[in-house]
Amino acid sequence: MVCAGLETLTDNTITGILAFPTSCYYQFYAIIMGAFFIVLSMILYNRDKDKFIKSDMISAMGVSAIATIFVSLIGTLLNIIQPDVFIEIFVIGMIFIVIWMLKTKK
Amino acid sequence: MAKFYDLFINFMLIGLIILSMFAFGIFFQQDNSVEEPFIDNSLMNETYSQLQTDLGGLRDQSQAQKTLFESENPTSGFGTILLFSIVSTGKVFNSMIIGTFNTLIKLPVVILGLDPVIISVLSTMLILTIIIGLWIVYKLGG
Repeated sequence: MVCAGLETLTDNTITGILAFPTSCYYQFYAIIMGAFFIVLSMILYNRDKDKFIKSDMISAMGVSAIATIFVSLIGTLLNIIQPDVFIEIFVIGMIFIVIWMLKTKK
Repeated sequence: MAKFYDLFINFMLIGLIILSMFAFGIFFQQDNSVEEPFIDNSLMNETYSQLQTDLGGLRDQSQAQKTLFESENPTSGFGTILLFSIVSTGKVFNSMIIGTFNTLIKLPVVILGLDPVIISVLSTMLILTIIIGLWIVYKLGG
């Protein structure tokens, strides 16, 4: 994949610089959000593992999914995440939330 | 064991949480004047409206079932009390679970291109759980 160099960057604002990778690879922020989701899930899981005898990966993923959706929502305000990428993130996050809710025992 | 009550509560809470997330996203984007709000997408718009309709009708439906339940005169059966309104209650509330499931499953099917086989398996599991759960409700009353 050949991407345009930084010399082609016209919008020098923070938003413009953040949005620049999207011009080269449309799914850039979807992957970033995926990485954010995985890192957050692992952090929550490991924190629970130290705190409780039995930690739960699904609940860590459910909570991370909510956080990822909200961070992506902020990304749409800055125009760095496109609406269709946000919809993909929303739907994938929704699946984790549904699994988490169905698994939750009262 | 399939518990109809737990299944119903879970599905209604899931619907409520997804609806809240939709609503939060829509108002958040509207308040900040986003150029292309995600609700402009026809599928998202349709899902949001459908969820509103499904969950908004809950109160009326449950009130109607409560009235039906109250109007019935319990008759004594062999070692039990017979109440036929519980069958109607089961029919109404199980259609709500299926309705919420159908509304929510449409998003991954269309956007992520989920295979129909997966939907078929999930639907079968859900329907079987509902049938067994309802049978327990009819038989044991809970």
